[in-house]
Amino acid sequence: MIKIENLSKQFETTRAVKDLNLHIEKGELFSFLGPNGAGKTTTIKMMVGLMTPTEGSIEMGGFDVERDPQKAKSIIGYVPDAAFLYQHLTGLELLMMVGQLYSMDNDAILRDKDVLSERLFMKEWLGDRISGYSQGMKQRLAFASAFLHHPEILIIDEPMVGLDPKTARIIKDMLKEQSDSGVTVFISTHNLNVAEELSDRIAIINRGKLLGLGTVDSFKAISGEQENLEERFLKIVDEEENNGSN
Amino acid sequence: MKRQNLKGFLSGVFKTKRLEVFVSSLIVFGLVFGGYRLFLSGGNFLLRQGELGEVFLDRLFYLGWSIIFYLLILSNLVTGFSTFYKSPEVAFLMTHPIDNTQIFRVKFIENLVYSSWAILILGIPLTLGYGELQGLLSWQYIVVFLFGILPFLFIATNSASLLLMLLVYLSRFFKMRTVFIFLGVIFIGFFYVYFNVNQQETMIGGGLGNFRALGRYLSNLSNNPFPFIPSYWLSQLFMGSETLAWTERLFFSALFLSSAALGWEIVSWIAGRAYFLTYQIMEGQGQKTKRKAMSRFFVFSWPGMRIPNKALVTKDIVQFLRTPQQWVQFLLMGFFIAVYLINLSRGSVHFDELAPFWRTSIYIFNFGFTGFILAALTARFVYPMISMEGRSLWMLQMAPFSMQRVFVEKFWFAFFVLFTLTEVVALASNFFLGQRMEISILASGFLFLTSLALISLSLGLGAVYAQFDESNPMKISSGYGGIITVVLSLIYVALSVTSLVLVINLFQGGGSGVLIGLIVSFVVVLTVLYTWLPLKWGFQAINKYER
Repeated sequence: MIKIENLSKQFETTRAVKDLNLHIEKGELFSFLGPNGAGKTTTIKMMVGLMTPTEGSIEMGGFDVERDPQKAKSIIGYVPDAAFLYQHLTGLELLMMVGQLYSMDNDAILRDKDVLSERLFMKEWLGDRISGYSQGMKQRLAFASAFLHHPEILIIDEPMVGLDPKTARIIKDMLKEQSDSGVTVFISTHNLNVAEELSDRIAIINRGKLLGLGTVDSFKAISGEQENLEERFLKIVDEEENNGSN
Repeated sequence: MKRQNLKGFLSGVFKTKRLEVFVSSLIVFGLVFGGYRLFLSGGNFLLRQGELGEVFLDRLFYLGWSIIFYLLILSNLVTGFSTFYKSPEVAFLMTHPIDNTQIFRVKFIENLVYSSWAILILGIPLTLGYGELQGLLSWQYIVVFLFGILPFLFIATNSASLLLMLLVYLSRFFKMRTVFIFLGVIFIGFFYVYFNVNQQETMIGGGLGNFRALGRYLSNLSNNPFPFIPSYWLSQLFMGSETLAWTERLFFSALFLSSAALGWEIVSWIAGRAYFLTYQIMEGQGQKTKRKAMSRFFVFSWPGMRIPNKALVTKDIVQFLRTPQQWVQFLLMGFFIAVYLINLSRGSVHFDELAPFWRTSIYIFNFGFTGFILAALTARFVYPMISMEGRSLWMLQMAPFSMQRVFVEKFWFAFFVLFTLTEVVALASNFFLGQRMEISILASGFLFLTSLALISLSLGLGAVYAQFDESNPMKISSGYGGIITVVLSLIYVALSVTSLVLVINLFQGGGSGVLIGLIVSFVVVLTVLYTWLPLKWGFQAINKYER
């Protein structure tokens, strides 16, 4: 469903992503882990077409993101790490706008909006202007707008940022349900518990390089002794940084 | 190989910012110098027409600085909202042990520079040209600048800052929308008094029909010099040594300096007591914006429009209506235009007294004025359209269509509104001026081309110089790209007006049809360049935009 081949991104003097290769199957819930500045967000922005790769290619659901961006975007739902939404609109208007951008008719938008607002506890404030929302409310609205057009692929950058524990639980459940129903879910996160709890597979990236790829269990068992994911993650990143500095 | 090297070298050079700044500075210099020469030769031409020309010239100058003064207050007010209250820097400084008056003073200077520099550049040709016509000596220019223009800017910022603090304070009791409506009513009321009550009959004297009708036209167009506003003091300072005694020059300089200094002290004193309070009021504004769930625009079925386009148009309309800085200014501009048309309609009974030369001159001035309105509207409202998407642009970039569609939607939206507005102004003013039908149609055609060119220019350059981190449209317009857009727009209007003058002269004098065709072709080619190139650059810029 997602095919990333030899992907690189160069910013003037920095190579943010280096020769990345990933294949993610339909219905898989995939976590992308890495410390700050590892290249996670850059990779995601290239996947959704907001940035152009310097080298390599990305296919989403069989559509090349560079050559066929519109078809690729029509099957993607995206939640950025900081959800900047149109401040002067109300939440309901934003959902109407997003639905219409994906050519949904008004009845379908309103029907799906009802389901999502109930699930994400947005009913009370959906008619208020976004400028008055807290970070968590904006994040919930961003999730609703990503789910609204029933995408085949969900790409979420830091899904739990700004969410209270109750909403975080709901989002986790929703992501799991989406994955079970055949939607491919790609999340980037710092939160190792989230990755451990949700993921079918994880990838670890640092300084733009893929350091490891596999199931959670395979990571835990890699050293022969049972470590938790956090310990394993820190070891991998530290080793890479030591090698890089030597 | 050599050719490739040269091509690579040139493309490298053109990519550098330094060259961009150089070329843009050259354009600004071109406008300043061209405007100065144009004003000078226009002024000399008017002076050759005798006493009437002299009066006309003085009125134009006075009118120019009066408009600049009100524009300055308005732009200070609008940029002041973000500079004094919405800037993250202010939020940061407020948490530190710094005197609020000091923060206010720093922001005051920032606001003064931000809101004045573009208008000042546009005022340079007027200053140099008129100064030379008045026979100012070099040292007198320095006096005019130091003791006239600088305090003039200060007075405008002083007035706007006071008004701004008052408005924010009032928003404690009323919704911000109500406060803006209140502000609009004050402006409209003031202009009503300014344009209508303060009109005397002093210019209408003598037995000459031309003098009488032109005097009435000018009297209706502006007003007679009103001695209590800085534009009047400035026009006095510009008088040459023969007209103005040195004691009078000293008086007006002292008047300027004392007014600016007193204003600064009053504003600082009030800021010491009210700035932090008003800052807190603004901080609480976000909590007062409970609105109805959904604007009817979102469910309105726009005839003949596809769903994604409908969403884009609806969003733009709703955002515009909910940004008071936008619609208040639009209404004010609409009001100025209405005043102009009403005054023209009042003067219409006298235009038949004018000789054909003066009638055509007024007609050309009117066309230039309409072009100027369009240039101002496009630079102010179309130029920030792409930047106003702000950090939410990703939502459109993620939508399953090309960004070209966003561009096209914004173009037609702006074209529909602005072309309709300016065409109404042109048709109505031509009617009041009693122009022949074929000349009115010709002017409408020119205006169609002008709308195409200026809207494309503003939209395209607005994308090239987009400022997605700035939410204040006025600040976006008065940025570097904004001034380049204004300059290029005015150059287009000047070329277009000159072409129209030539065509009318040839047409009325039974001149060569081939020459008329050539001039019209020149305007068409110019329009194609102004339309195609900026849209292409803008589209490329928005496609390459990554964040």
